[in-house]
Amino acid sequence: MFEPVEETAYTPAIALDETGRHIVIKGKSYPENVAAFFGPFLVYLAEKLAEGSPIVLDIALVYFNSSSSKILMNIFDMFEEAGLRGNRCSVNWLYDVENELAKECGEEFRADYTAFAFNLKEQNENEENPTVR
Amino acid sequence: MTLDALLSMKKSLNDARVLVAFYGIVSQELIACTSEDLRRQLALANESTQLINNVFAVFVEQTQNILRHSTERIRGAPGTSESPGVGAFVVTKSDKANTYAVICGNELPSNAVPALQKRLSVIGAMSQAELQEHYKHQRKQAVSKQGAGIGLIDMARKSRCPLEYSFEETASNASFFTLKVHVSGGEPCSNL
Repeated sequence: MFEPVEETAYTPAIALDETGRHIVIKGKSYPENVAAFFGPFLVYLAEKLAEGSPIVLDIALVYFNSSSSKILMNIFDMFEEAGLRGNRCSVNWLYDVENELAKECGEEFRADYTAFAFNLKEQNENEENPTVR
Repeated sequence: MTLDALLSMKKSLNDARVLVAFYGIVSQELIACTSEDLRRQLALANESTQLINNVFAVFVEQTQNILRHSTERIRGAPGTSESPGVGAFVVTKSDKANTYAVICGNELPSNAVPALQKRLSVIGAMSQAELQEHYKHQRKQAVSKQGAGIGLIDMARKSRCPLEYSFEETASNASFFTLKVHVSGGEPCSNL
């Protein structure tokens, strides 16, 4: 089981619901060492996907640096493989209506994947932040 | 350094429209605090969210490069692996409205210069569409444990202006690398 991670100024929160299949990544991501920060989460995700669990991943990142972008790509590559094996996973890419950059990054990622649902969802500032239920 | 040297330094920073200037140990915590302060300063100047986000992004990429790549380091206490990178960064407001520049400098081994110069000139010759392709391609190739090696491309995309850079040999096998990235809220740069 993966221990949820609290948000800091430069690392996002990673939260799970009680089934461990609905995951939310939220905040800013520019850790000093991305491999060290995301390592345990990637291990967990690989295990869950190998079990054939359908994963729903909400990503609400207001900013991520280029090395985090590489990690996100690795995550989506894992989803794509799982999708090709028939595992129905989905990603919800949540961005603030004013955050053009986050929207463009989401669109750019979405264009590269076909085997899982990649949804872009605009949010208004006053809307509630995504949480696990 | 004499007392009045600080005041004259402050005056020249003001003349150059400097928002923030730093030389010393660039830690992750310093980057986090300074980038948030920058965000607040730009918001107070009524800049657009998009411009603020771009300046923030370029600032983080630039300063994390010092953190990772500077060869000027403070050695940690014996038995620890801590050796934070030393470097310089400045953020300035340009004469043009809604335009800023993030300038960073750090030392690197002179034998690393040709490869970096090559990467910068390849990036410099690319259109926005080519940069997008190059970014995606390099992201797939990246294997480095720390950076993904795509920070420079990312900055060129956000800047939409040519990256300005220089290399100065400072000691035997040590060079000082300076990179200036313009970020504009208006049209892509024309007369910067």
